[in-house]
Amino acid sequence: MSAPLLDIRDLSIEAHKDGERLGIVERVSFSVATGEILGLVGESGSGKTVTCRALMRLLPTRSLRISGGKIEFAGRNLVTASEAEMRHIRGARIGMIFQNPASHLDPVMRIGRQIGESLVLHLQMSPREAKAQTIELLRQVGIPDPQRRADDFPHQFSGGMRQRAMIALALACSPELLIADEPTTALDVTVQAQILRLLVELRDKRGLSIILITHDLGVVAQTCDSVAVMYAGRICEKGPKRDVLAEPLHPYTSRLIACQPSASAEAGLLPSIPGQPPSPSAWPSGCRFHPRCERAIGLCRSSAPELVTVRSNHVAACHVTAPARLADEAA
Amino acid sequence: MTALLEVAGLEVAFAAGGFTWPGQAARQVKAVNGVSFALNAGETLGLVGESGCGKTTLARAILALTEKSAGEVLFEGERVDRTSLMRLRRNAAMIFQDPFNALNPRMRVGDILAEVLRVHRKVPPDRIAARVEELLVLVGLSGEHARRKPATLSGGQCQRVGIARALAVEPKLIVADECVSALDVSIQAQIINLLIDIRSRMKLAMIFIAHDLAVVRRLCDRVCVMYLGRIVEEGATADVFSAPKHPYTQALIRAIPEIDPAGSLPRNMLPGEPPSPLDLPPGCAFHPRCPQAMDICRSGDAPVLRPAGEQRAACLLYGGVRH
Repeated sequence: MSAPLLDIRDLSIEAHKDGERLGIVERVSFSVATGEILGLVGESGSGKTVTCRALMRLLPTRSLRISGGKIEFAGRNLVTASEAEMRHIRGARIGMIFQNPASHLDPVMRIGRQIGESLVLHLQMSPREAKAQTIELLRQVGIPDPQRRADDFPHQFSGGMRQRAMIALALACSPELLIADEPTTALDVTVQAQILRLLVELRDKRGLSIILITHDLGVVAQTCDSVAVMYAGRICEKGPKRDVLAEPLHPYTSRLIACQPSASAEAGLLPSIPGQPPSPSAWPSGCRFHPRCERAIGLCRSSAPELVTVRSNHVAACHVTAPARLADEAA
Repeated sequence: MTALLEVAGLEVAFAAGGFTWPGQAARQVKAVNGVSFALNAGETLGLVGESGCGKTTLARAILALTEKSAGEVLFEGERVDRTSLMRLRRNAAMIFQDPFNALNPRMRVGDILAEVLRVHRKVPPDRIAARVEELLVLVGLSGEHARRKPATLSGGQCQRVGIARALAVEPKLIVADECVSALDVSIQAQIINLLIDIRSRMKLAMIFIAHDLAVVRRLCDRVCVMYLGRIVEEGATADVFSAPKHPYTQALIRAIPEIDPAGSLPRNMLPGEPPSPLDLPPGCAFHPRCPQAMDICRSGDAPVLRPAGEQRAACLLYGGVRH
């Protein structure tokens, strides 16, 4: 197999506040192959958005800093890349879309111009070429009557249309990688399905790689090839979607699957996870999930578990379940 | 037995912005359009629909927080008007979507709850502190939280305070407006369980507004599906989920992302988005997106709720052909 398009190794991110250093993200590793959709799952504050901002090198430099590891994108280490190099990568080779497209589109600039701008900047197109290409892009993301809608302002678009425009903008320079940060959380369910379908189609047609940040495992089940689960700044489990969802190894993953209500289940109490996710200023010792884990043992309090490969590509960081499963597999 | 709450032909209209010629009638948006339902004591009704379908406006109009333009609300058989409003207010409470914005950031949690107890004279002044602690314990917090300000609490804890504040009036009816959608999945499950527990312990009736159908499945006895200001399907939760009748309900249920390891995106998804409520299509408002639309759906008045299987649906597929 050829090298993956994106390979993140032991990425750590620190915040410094009032002379104190806080580890926000700790030794996160994952890779994305060409044409793969990776789901990055976790609750708010688990570090999924910060990780993706770091790989675009979009961290606010005053408060957050990459403190270790490397981000290899198409053979180049983005951690050490210069700002000039990053400018050619950001937007051109890595695109990004956000949860709330309304706040990431310029409200006083026509949609068509916003998209055309990046074509002129990155691909040195003439304004005329850029306009034609913009209309083509809007058509590809399913905006009806693109010729006319290109002259609209963002407020004239509905929520779903704005997200489509945002996707067109991110895809303008044919990036190899798209980072989608909760792209459907603000949308209605019926529109959510349309946008997810669009992302999957773009992958199928263009061989685009996608990192889909979400908190919804249902969305992962519908769209992703593989999934990485983050908890409190660390990856606790990752692997092919089918394996992780069908046979979750980490107790956090299993509980997360259990506590998401399902439409087919009967009425009644939901399994839940007691307590709440910890904050970086008070990470628990050892395994950061142990205060909320029903299977925690003494070891969990004192030492942080390493990621263990249990089956091909399926890894989990748990003192209890991972060794047990390994023994099962060996037997 | 009379129902705890009865809503009959409720309409809420807002003046729409935009230019009007002198003499021309101002444009109006009917956010809620002829909604009728009844809620029994101790029953939980789910109100589902996409954003802009009028579910929040309906809830606010029921509690007289938004003025209604037509129709009636009866609480325990009595019409809610200016004179009887106080009775409704003493018996109903609301839980809001955004737990942070619903609490006064400058007040301590204890004072937020004590204020309700004082205003409604629920307990004698010397018992207020004890009752505040009782309420906090009831929602899974502790007396220690009374001294804290909302900014030091997490989202889930703030929502618990919001629930405690609603319970402080000892209501018969609670209206919960998207009260779990801003929370993380693991916290969401805790709050849903808390609501289930409190509801059965205190025999509360609840109107639970949500866009997440899976949550409604867990919590509600009956469900009303709204589309553009109207109820399009109404029935027992189990019936509506196992055999949805209205094509819109069917599409909504199909679109729920289930955690199925072999899952993929649903086929034949609903095209388009809801039209603007300012410019409703004639006939059934759902016909431009409906895979089963017939010619008669495209003109005339909107269909009314009629029996369809175990539930009721506002769809011409289930009888009531006008020709």
